[in-house]
Amino acid sequence: MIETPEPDLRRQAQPPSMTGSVATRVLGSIGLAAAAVMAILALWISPADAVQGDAVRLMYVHVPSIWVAYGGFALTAFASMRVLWRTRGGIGGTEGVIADRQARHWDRVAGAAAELGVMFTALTLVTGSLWGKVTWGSYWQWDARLTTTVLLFVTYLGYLALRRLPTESRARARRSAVMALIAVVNLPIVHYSVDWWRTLHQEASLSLGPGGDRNYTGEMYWTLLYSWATFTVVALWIGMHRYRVLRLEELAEEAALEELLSVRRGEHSSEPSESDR
Amino acid sequence: MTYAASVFGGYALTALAIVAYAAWVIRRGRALGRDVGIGATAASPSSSRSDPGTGQ
Amino acid sequence: MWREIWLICRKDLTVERRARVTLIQIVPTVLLILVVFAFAFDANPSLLGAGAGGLFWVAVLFGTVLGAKRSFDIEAEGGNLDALRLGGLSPAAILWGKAAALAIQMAAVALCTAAGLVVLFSVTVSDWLLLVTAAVCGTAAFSICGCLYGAMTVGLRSADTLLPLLLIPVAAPVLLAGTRAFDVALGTSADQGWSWTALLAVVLVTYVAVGWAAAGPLLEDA
Repeated sequence: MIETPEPDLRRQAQPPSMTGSVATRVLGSIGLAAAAVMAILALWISPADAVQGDAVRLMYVHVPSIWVAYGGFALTAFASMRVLWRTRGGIGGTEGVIADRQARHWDRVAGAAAELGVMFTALTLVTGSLWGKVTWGSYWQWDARLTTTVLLFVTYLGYLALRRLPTESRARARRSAVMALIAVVNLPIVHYSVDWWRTLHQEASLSLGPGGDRNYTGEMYWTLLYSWATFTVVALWIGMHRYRVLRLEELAEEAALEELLSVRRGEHSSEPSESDR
Repeated sequence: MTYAASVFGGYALTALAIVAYAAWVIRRGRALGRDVGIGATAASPSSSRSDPGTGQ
Repeated sequence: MWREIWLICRKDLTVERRARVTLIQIVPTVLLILVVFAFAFDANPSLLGAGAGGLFWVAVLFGTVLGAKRSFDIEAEGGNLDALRLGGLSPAAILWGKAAALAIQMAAVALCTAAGLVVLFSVTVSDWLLLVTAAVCGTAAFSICGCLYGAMTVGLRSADTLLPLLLIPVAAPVLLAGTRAFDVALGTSADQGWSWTALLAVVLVTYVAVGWAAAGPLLEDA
């Protein structure tokens, strides 16, 4: 309701993509071009590994995916902290309105970032199991890192599920912010316990496959860094769109509520036809 | 499974997933924008960025 | 503060004494899990004895999911939580009172599970002190975790189906450490049982800290 005067000014200049803007178009173009270059670099120009051969090329999608996912989850945690910070103040007055707006802003940032994180974690798991199939001979090993990653994935799936449930938006923002922060606090515990579980149990012998500790050559290193930059740009591009979609979802919800209210008001005064809906 | 199959499979799956997700997000944005009658201008972060420490 | 916590805890235990949901629903379910596992590992019964430590924790974890759900179900009805808040109780007192009550009930569940293991899988204990310490730390950690997530999903429409998804990944470290400690205490492994119990204690302390920080934001709006 606060936002209604703003959009009307610029409605004429609406772009074909409802969530697009100059920034997203620039980012999207850069991302597309970078992805094309990345495919050439990663699939043809960078050398095959001495031990793993061409399978090492999976590293350029596998490792950047998880880095971007970690970035997304870190942003979720940061944004959640801001949500809690902003909802602590009292309600009402100009200050309350500003705080509420900022809390909603950070809530959307947290939601968009977590969703991207979940998607890229899923990609990490899929490319990792493909990589594992050709290097280890099996899709899955109960390796510490794999186990931690799958727990991370499930944790944030739960976070997204919590966000989807319909409640009052302020309460939902606060609950999901608490959950995101608990997830972050829990992460090192999960990591160390799983690490300990596996290393105490068996020798860490999987230095070849996904996430192995081998030293890679210069060209591989730069290709990896370049791929990471590409993934980051693409993730930012999608993230901006997702943020705006979340914003539109809220506006649609408000509009629906408004309509419902006006229908109710109409019922009370004159129009009985509206109640047939 | 051969090396080539797993590498191309991995790249193809990654590309497909990212494109599908982006397409879903943008299409949903269009549909919602049409419903609400408000486009990117209202939904852009710049209009709600009243926080100096945003860094977005 | 302590009096408020005791008040809430006693309230929850009184509700349990009247309704007996833990006793006649959760405990049988948990025992059923043991039986179901016996079906699953029917081909190799020796696995059952070796996996008894893990089985205990899996069973108690599922018991905690049910218990946490129940614990906040009784508050969701009729805006009970709002009433407690309006009555002047602090969010932290509500959370800790409920966590204490849940921990007491889960201790009972754990005892029944242990008895079930002894009877069904003929488990023998080689280190009682380790067993009891690990069980107390783990059950308490589960209960705090359960209460945190129960408070997070209280009053939501599909909380029943969401709670396990939220709770189980977070409780994974307790499950792991508890299983390893129990394997040692039951004599099926020569691991460092006390190190794992120390990890359980660290997890417990972390959850206590998280609970203090999260109680306010979680329960203020509920």
